[in-house]
Amino acid sequence: MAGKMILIDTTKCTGCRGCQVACKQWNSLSAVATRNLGTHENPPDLAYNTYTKIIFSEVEKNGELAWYFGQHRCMHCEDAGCMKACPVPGAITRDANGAVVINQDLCTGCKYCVFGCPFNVPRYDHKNAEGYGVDKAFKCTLCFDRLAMGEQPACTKTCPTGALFFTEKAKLPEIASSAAQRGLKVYDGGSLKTNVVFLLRGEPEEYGLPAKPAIPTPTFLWRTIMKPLGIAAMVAGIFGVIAHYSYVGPKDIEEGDGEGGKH
Amino acid sequence: MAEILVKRASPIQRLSHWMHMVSFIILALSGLGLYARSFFGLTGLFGGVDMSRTIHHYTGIVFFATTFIIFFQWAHAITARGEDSLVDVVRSYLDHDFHAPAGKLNFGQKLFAWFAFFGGLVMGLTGFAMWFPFVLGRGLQQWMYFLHNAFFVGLMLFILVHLYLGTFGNPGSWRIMVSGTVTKAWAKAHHPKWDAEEV
Repeated sequence: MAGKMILIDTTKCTGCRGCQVACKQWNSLSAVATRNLGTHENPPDLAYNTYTKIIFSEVEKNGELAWYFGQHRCMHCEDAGCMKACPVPGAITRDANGAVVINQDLCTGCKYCVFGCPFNVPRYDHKNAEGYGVDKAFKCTLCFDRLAMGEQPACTKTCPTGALFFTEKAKLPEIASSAAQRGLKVYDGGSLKTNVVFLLRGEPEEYGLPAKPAIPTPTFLWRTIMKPLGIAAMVAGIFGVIAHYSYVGPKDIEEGDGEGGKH
Repeated sequence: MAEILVKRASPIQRLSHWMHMVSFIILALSGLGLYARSFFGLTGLFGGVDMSRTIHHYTGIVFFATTFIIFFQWAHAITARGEDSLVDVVRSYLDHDFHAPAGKLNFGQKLFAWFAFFGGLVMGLTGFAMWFPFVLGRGLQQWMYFLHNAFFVGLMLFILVHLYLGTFGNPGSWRIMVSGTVTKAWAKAHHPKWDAEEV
């Protein structure tokens, strides 16, 4: 697919969180109460109204402190767990740019995608006692609306250091080889083939990323194995019953005396 | 000649079974709508996906409750030690001249009863987890969806056979659901031990 990607060069990130602000501004997302987490990290977590968040990670490397900046956001997988889990036709789609987008007009608020995501990204907007909340799931859209107008996503547009960079997916091999020369690891979600690609100095876990991201095993068993197998089994069961009736026939214990007890 | 009728199910047992059956049909149809994207049209039967899901939730309570009620109504017969085996039962399904030496319930019916009970329990518990998905935590909750799906398929297969054997497969069995009685001939053929000892 002639897709696009967001390249995140973590060595260039200064933790300014301009991307968080630009994201909220473009998507008209309301503010979230902050909390002291002992770092500069805030808001506390992704939410239905927080699509991205910079992770501040302090790790010890060879007896010295390393301060890493990661980003928690939708990775726009080519093999997307949310899409696998979603039961509504067209509620989660992938466009030509590679953006995985939830259509809230179709979303029914079942929350399957929330639990099907390997990166714990989609968030559900509860309908609370006061009637606020829309009972639907939300996440980063890769600013598909901006892309449609030939613009780049709000986060990459605003990034002052070039840590977030919007480019062609086709350039990944080239970028990977130059990253290797700089001693950086390329993180592209492995088999999930994410359209958000990180260049990492350390291990994925040190940036809050799963080391071996995969569609959760139960979600895979449920949607990829059990769902088609179940349909096949139920259809086979119906034909099995019809076959029994046709070949073996009913076990009519009263057939010996004609109409049996019907006197 | 007046036919001899034998009592097999009490009115409360029949009522429980009807409630269980009707709730199962509603649950199966409203559940299939969210089973696969190609079945989504079934939600239209209930006036759209929101109403379909709401009906599924509350009907689930009826199904879950009647699962227990029916199991305990029949617990004595389900746990009774029979002389027939699974082989006997399968043979009796295929050979019209063979009758398993069954008590009130044959081996296959006991197997079905245990699965219906255990399956109803799992469907209810996983169903409540799916109704309130932020209680169990992420890892456990993911398994709830899989289990709900897997046991749904299992129940559908068991109930398909149950429905067939209780109606077309064994003429005369449907009376149990309607009047609670069977003919003496039916009892003697299908449940000889029960017929000899208890009737």
